[in-house]
Amino acid sequence: MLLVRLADALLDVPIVLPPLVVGLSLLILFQFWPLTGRIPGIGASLNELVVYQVPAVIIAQFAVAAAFAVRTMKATFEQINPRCEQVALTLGCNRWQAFSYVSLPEARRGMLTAYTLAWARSLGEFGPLLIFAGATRNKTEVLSTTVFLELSIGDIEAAVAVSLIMVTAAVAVLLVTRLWGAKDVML
Amino acid sequence: MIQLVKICVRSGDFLLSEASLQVESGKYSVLMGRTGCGKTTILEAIAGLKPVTSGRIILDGCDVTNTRPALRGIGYVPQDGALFPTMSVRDHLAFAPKIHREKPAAIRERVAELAELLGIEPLLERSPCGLSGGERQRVALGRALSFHPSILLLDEPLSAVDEDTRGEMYELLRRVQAETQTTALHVTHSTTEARLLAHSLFVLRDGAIVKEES
Repeated sequence: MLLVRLADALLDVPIVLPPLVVGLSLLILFQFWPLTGRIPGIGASLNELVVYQVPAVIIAQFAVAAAFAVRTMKATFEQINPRCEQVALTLGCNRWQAFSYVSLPEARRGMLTAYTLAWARSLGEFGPLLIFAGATRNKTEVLSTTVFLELSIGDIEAAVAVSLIMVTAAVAVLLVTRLWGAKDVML
Repeated sequence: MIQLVKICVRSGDFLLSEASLQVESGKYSVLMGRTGCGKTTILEAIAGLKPVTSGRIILDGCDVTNTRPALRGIGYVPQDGALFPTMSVRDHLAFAPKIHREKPAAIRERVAELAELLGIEPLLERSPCGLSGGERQRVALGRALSFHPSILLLDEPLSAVDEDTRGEMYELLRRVQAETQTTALHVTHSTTEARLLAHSLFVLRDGAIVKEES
């Protein structure tokens, strides 16, 4: 029971940590063995393949957004009446059938909400990306870092244009979650 | 026949110790007792949803103490109905036959048969969220009977049903049990339900199940 509570608390770490610290933690993590060891056949270490490369963008976004998605999905599954799965067991289902035929369809809307909220969170992620993936033009540049790069060279119009793309995406996410998502598991 | 031989079941802080019961085949039996005395725990143990720590559960001569719920052949109607929110009434009635890999024609026939027996033909395409308490219990009963179980467990099925509907449900439960010849064990704390439905009456008192004259 203690282990479950500990794992539950660990899930919240990426949520409560300042984003910059998440990026820094990832950067430090990739400085240690075995992530620094050369991979046979490739001739490079995971550190070289990931840090300041495109995979770093994905890992940094995943580290923060996955915690939000898991929290939302946990809330979704907690709201499902466990009695329904139990009835399915008496009707001839095994555990997997009971879950996939009864609980999973019921969780569909909550899962959609979790996915869209996590995607929106990833889209706006900035701090961890800057530290772990850098903001290299045409390489590890994403919408949020583009706004930063355009502002840093004084191109306000370009920064506003990219910001508008992010606003449009945010509105689309809001619409999707409000129209088709689970209304009772919103963050 | 349902036989419980000195079963012990733990449910949180609650412990049911050495309870024994014998329910005759093809009869409508009612188990009464105060709220929180362990009636639902007994039904869940019979259905295989709650493990017993000791004792034996014998259904129609077979020891099913360690058998998983799917293989016990028990139709279970929980107190709240526990209908599947994403399925229509038709899907509920077809769910168990599909799981048991019956042919589509046989499934259609079974759904029509149950809908007629329970008087829910107009509800077949509806989803559970719009159903009244009585309608929900009819659907739950149909779902429980859909795979021809020899035993039917009903956990306070009429507790959320209004007074008028309750009268219809008594008649329906009597008729369904008589037509299907299932061994029914109905849990309630209503003496009226027990008086109107029971062939045999059992009372759970201080952890012991006592048979009373009905």
